Amino acid sequence: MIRTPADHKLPRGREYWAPVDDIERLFDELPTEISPRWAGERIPKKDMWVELGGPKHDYKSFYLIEKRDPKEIEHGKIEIVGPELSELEEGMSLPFGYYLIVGGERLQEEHVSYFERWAMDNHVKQEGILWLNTRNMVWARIHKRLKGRIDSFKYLPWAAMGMFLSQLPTIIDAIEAKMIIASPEIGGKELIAEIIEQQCKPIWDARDARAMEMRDEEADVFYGCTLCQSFAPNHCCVVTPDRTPFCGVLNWHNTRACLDVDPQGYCFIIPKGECIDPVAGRYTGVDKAVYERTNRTIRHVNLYSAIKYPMTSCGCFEVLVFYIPELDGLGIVNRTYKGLTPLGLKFSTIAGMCGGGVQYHGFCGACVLTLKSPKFLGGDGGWDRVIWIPKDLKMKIADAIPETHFHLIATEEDAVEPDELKAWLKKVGHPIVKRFWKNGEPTPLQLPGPGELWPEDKAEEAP
Amino acid sequence: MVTVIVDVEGAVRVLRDAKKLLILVGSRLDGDILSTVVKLAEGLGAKAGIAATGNTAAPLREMGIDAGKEWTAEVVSRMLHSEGDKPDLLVFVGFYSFVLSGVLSTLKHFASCKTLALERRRFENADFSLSEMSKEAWRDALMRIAEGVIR
Amino acid sequence: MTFLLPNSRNDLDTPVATVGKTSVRICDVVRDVRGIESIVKRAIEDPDFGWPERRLQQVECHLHIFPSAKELEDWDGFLLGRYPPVYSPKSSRCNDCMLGVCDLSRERGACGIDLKTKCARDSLLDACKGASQMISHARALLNEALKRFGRDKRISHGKNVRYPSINTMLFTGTPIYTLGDADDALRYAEEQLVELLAAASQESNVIDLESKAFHAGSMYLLAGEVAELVKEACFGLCSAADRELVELPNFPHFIERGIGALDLEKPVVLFVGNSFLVGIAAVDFVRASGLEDEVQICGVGQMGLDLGRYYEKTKNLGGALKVLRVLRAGIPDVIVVGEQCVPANILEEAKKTRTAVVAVSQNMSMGLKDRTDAALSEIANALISGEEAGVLILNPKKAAEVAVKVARELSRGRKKFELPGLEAAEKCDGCGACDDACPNDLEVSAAVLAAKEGRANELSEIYDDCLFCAKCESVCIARIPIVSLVLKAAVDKMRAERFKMRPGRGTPSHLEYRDVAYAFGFGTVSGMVAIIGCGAGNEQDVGYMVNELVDMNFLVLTAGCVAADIASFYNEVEKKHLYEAWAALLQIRGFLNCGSCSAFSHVARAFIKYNHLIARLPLLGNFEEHADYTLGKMPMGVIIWGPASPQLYAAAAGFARLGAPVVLGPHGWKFQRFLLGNVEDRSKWWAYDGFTGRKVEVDPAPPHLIIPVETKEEALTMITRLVFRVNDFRDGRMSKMDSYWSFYERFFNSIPEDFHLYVRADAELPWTRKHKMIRILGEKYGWDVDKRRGLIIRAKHRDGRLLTPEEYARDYGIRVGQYSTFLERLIIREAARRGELADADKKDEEW
Repeated sequence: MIRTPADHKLPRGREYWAPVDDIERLFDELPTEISPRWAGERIPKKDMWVELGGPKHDYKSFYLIEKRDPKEIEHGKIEIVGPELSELEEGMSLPFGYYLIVGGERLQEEHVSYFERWAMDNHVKQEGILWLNTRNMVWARIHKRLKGRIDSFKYLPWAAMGMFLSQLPTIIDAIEAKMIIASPEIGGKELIAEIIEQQCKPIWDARDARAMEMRDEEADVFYGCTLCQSFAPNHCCVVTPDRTPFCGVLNWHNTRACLDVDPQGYCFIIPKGECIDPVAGRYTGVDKAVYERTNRTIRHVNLYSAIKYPMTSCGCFEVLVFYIPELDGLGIVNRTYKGLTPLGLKFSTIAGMCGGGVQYHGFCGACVLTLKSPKFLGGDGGWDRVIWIPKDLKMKIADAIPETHFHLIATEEDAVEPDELKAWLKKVGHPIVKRFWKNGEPTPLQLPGPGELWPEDKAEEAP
Repeated sequence: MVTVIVDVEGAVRVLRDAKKLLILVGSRLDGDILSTVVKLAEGLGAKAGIAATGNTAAPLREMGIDAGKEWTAEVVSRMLHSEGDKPDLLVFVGFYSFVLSGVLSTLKHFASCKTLALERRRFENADFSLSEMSKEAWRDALMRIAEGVIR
Repeated sequence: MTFLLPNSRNDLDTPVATVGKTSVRICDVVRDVRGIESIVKRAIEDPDFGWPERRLQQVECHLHIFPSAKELEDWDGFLLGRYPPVYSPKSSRCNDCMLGVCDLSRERGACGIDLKTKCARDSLLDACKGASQMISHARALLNEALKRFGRDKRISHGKNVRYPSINTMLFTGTPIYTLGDADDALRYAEEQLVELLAAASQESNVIDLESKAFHAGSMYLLAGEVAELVKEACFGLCSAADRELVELPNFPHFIERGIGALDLEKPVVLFVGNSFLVGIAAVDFVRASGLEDEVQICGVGQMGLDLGRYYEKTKNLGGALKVLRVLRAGIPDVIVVGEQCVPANILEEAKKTRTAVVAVSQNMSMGLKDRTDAALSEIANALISGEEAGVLILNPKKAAEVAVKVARELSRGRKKFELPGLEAAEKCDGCGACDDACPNDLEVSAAVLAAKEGRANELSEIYDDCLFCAKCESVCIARIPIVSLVLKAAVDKMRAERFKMRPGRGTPSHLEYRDVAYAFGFGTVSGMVAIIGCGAGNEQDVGYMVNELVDMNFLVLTAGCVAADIASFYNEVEKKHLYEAWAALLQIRGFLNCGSCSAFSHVARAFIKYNHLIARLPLLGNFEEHADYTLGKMPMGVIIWGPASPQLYAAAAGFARLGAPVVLGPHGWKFQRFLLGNVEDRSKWWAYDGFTGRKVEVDPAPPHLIIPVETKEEALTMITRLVFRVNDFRDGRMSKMDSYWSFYERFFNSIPEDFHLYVRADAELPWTRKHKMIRILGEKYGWDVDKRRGLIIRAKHRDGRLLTPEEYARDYGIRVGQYSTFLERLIIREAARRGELADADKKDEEW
């Protein structure tokens, strides 16, 4: 039984039971298709039968996914409170609330944040359903051509249950759902707003805090991913709480779940081993795993460095960090910046050089989320070493840049040419000038070639 | 290797003489002629299989016949390549003539099995073939062949 | 031709190509470096299309620049070993030489040839015919362009094309930036063609011959690319290359298709075959003379598409195959006849309706007098008066003006649809000769007999499927004008034919690739399929297939005459004809028409481009590596529909060699050569694990390379099967499996018999079918499964062993995401060099 803080105001809902013990039957009895090809189906207003949530109701709707003890879950139960689909007139729009409660012996709290996005995807791929966003931004439409084929909202959770049980058989043991279709008689958006404030928000806030605040030290293991090796041989992503892969497809929590679902897939566990350098992010376990997974070509990886032993890049990175020798500093550039960087090269050219699974000292791909980690570029001096970012990107990641540094980092509007940039940095008093430059002059590092070891490690290479 | 033009009796003899045969149901067959072919296969008993080419697996299934969906080109290719228990006679019915001419040519020149074309025109590359006839005569001939194999 | 190899391998002074800190000696990367030193150096060093340093370090770099077929035998040999040719010769007789006519069905011929070799020689000849037509087309255009603009004329590829002339670069090692470059490239194709033709009467090995047929296919696509570039850069055909993404969904403009789009009171000039330069000149003349609202410029086949890309008022009158439909109805006042795809008796046919003929190609002069040098008015008068039924004019501008002028005169008072009444059927005695003659197996005699009884309906139904070859008429002893009767019965249908279509946009743009690359790589798209061909009997077929594939989230492209067929298909859900129903984008839920048959090269380009975009495979002189990657990873496929010309034979060979399998429609049985895999022979299905160098048994994907089918439903199902790749990602395999299964269930009411061969792990089974599949794996195929939870406990290997999922992933198929190849030299070098890793089992155990 799924409880809401507004239970005292709500009527009893209609109860349905999905055949969760026979998934083949469950899908046979689902009147609509589910397939990737329905993803992104647009349902314009003129074609919609019913709309749920969205801007029309000031986003006062929710989709809450929560983990509970399986014993508390009535497996397969679906409750629909409020009017049923068949009772609604064409073109109707209502706010709604949607609970999906999951439980399982092996289910962990980390899985749940992964499910939020993923559960949305399930509905996205459902025929005749437009489904956008998660949590309180949720917005759905049902196509009018489904009239006559479905008569109840139950087929939304019905499909979701099938998808969860089909895809996560080893993780989910029990699942229950409830929808509140908040017509004015039921209480409208005010009722939903009340539930969001009292029940959903605290859960979401705690979940976010947990995901954002987790640091590499707290992780029991790291993960690796070699999804991209078929086009970038020798590329191996190391996935840690502080180091989300460049592609942004997975994060550490997702990878953990992914491995559970698909043990023979792209992801694998990397035992951390011993932490040799917490600032640059060097772990013996990471070095060992990367060496093996890169076909024994890459011996070291510093998780938080672009200059020395950076992680390899496949090619899908959202942004690129690059070393500017003339200034002994780092620049960051993103995909949409079309102009030249202080290196005299465009994004696409740099990407071509360092993508494809090569360890190119002085270059490193990253995703925007990684920029927000406090460990970002730790091995290179952190934000003290970052001197140039295109304006667009700088605005986009403004909250990741320490306030003290924000105005000290140049954009293309301030300078691009290294000489001009140098003068500008001196003028604004960028910390690099004092911390890394000698007597106000940068001393360029001699970087080893791609794939090569740094001089102090040369001895290792002897067979 | 001249094509033997057979009449109903001749066709029945060829079908009876075969040890193991496969009836390829061509994409143009439907309705009552399809039922006749099913009857023919049933009449021949265990030694005969049906290969449903084109889209014919669906109507056959509706008739309660669980004939496997087959791709004509793959059946032909199997006759050329694989070892083992292969049919010694392939029977064709309901094909486009431009498809069947090609199929029979491959089999004639590169496979060891015999072929029987139960179409309403003569096929030069078949070992045995019916001759030109009207649709009605063909329908009738197939019916008589189906009855003939039961004796 | 034989070359002496230079003894340069020991020569230390030999030049090197350097990328970053890595160098290779250029004599080591090609067979014979003489004369192409600078091309080879650039092919490696070029920052855009050359070798990334790590690739140079990782695999053995070997380039094929201006290669002969034999130089590509590593790849061709692999393909033909896996997909050996199966022949269906139309005849077993050979009369190729003076030693006599030999029947090869039982023994060798007098020259020692056997039937298979003879078939292979015919295959090469067919491919050469196709290639020669495209090369000749490209040459005519290029020569004209060279005369007008000179060798140094820059060819712009447009700002949204990052990879110019891919088909060419892969073979010549040089992108085309000027007309001179184009000339060099085409000259290479011409030389190859001559060599291939020479081999077609000498070479005695089936695999070598088919490898050469492949090569003719590659030359076909290369020449098509040259033709397209010249048309776009020098003769003003519209191209998507310079358009922004927001414009593309509606690019290019619509043109109208169908006789219903014409004002039959006004003059009609119809362009037939390849009469490109004349067509362009005619449009220019009409525009300059302010005749746009009077003279109607129409095209069938290639000209219906190419002219449409030049002139929005062009009316497309369908595929080239069916030109008689228009001609018999007396629609055009003048036909301008070029080369290729023209019925041999077109002059006779034109005479029947007193349609004036202007022939414009030396290759198709039909015995007409060459009047190129005569005065314009003199030629025109001869045609107008009927003194001459046709003339040959080899000056495009003059030909164009004559055609327009004559049409304006002849159209006055000229009646259209002057067709015999149904009483012409009275002489029919139902002998059925027409039925036997019909290449499309139509029941013609029944329809004629119905007409005899006064019913036109059956004839009108014939219209829907007719190829308009008129073979039925020529065999009719009663001399009944059957085709005219068919048209008569369908006059209302013809008048109602009026559809919108996009005539072709040239290349897909980089912006589209960029946008769809992710979906493409990670699998929400099942694959990219091109439907090409000369048009089918039933026009609806191709539109139906496009619609189904778009609906299944395939990326769909088209080119060639079928592009006009598609226009008439009505999408019931969107309540629109196809070109209006879908955005003209290379995106999910879009489909695009690239143009005429030379635009097949744009399709090939679209296929190859992803290899560079995703894997950065070098593009210069590097054909093999792209083909290897496409066959191993990229889900590309081609459907060729309808009776095909030799050009399509060459195109099919070109696409197949590129690793993009081809499905042929029922008329494809006339190809006489197919490349079929043998799924049951496990020894054929292997790939190298790119890291360990280990040969691994893999899923039979794709199972065939060129295969004919009988129905459009079969074509759709087969193409979903042919986009399976050993290197599929999880999501990609899932959506392919889903599409394959869903077509199979829908069309055949059955479950695919071979699906278990493509199951690598339970995690990639389509969610809604997973439990069903797992149950069947257990019940039918003997796998050890947990039916209730939907888990594979132990998978059954093809060798009979029951293996844990981990063992199965090791012993069957390429592990998801890992690099694999079919060519030994493309195994990652570090692995190949390191003995310790060859034992992959050891590596796997550690994990």
